[in-house]
Amino acid sequence: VPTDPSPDPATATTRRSFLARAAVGGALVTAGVAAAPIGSLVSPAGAQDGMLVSDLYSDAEFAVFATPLELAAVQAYLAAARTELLSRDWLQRIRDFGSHHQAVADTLNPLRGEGASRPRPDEALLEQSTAAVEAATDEAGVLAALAELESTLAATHLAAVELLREQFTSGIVTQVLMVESQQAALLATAAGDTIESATPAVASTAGALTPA
Amino acid sequence: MQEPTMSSTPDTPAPTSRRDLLVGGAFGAAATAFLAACGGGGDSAPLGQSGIAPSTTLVMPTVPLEEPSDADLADDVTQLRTATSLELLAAQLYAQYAPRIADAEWSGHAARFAADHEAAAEAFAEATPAAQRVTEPNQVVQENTVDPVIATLQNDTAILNFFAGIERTLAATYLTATAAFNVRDGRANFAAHAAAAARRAALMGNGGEGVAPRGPLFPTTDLIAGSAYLSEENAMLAEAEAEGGAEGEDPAAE
Repeated sequence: VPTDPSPDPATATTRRSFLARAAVGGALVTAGVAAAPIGSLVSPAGAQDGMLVSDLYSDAEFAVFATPLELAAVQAYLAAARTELLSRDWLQRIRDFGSHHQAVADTLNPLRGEGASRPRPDEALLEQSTAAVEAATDEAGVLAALAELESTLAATHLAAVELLREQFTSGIVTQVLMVESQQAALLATAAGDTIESATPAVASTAGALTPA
Repeated sequence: MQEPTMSSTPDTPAPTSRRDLLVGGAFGAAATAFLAACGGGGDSAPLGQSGIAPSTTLVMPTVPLEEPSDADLADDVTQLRTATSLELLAAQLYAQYAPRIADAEWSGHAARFAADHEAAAEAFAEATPAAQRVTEPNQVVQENTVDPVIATLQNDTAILNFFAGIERTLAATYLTATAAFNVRDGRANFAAHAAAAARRAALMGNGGEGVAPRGPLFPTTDLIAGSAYLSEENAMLAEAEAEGGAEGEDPAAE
């Protein structure tokens, strides 16, 4: 499934934004999760009014979308390990982080359905992330490229959380994005980013990928 | 060259959007189920089966989302009240201990985290019906998790490890809330706060050296105790305990 990298938070959650616009009668929704109010508990109808079950991702639909992304991450980590730019400690961590993405892909893959073809890494994300890794000239550059990848995946999963039909799956996806967020923070600070930039008050959907 | 007409079929099929596929697929399955349910008499029923054939369709494409019940909303209020109380506790602890961190950089971050948690508390409170908002830090977590270790917070390593633990507690609690929250867009907001807490925990762990995740899924091992949730049930239990205690005191007083 090709993906559409959306650096602009306003378009990061296309499907959600569309639904939200419909729900509020055409008002423009210009921000992702970070700027949205927490729930609409006082007026619950506002949150779900107008939404259909079919507007949400089934587990299979989400798995079809997300499995190739995780596989692309696995490939990017393999590319990082091949650079010979990493210290022994970071090489081990890189292998661990890559294995986490493989484990997520292995978990998602069966959800795609019996008739689904063998999943392949998402081409766009694979090309983008491996190119960034291979362009690096030192360890910090490799780690920065992987940090960007992790942030993208975490934002993508965060954008999907409220669009998942099954509450249980929302929880699993949140567990995944939390680990990806941690990996992003550790990679980014090791690459030279400040702790401040690696610890936002609230996670954002900026940069999230959406199904094409 | 033949002029295309409205009814012409292009050589290359037009790209099918994802929505088309989903809608078409769902409708197709629904139609199949509908036909199966409407299907004739006993002649068409498979051997070994009686009654209407079971539908394999899980959802119809035009089914509106189910509105949360009153009980669901009450559960959501509990999650929001609990989150508010946890954020207030975290903000208070950071404010108290940030100045005691010798490392200037981490001390500054801790002060910033205090402000972040204060803002999060306000956000959770605003999402809570006004009459049910919480203004006090979580007492159960204070007594069971914080108080037993507070005397050990004598150096940077101990303080940062302590805060990493607090953040893991918040992260695990919000993660659980994500899977339990009934109003849909509230889930993402809990997830967004959970991810932020997870980041802080990863960087402050190991005395500020950082701790890498050990698996692909964030663990729920640091989830707060059931008694720490600010639910009506826990409030009633606490009230009953207080009354019981008061009753128990009476005979002694006599």
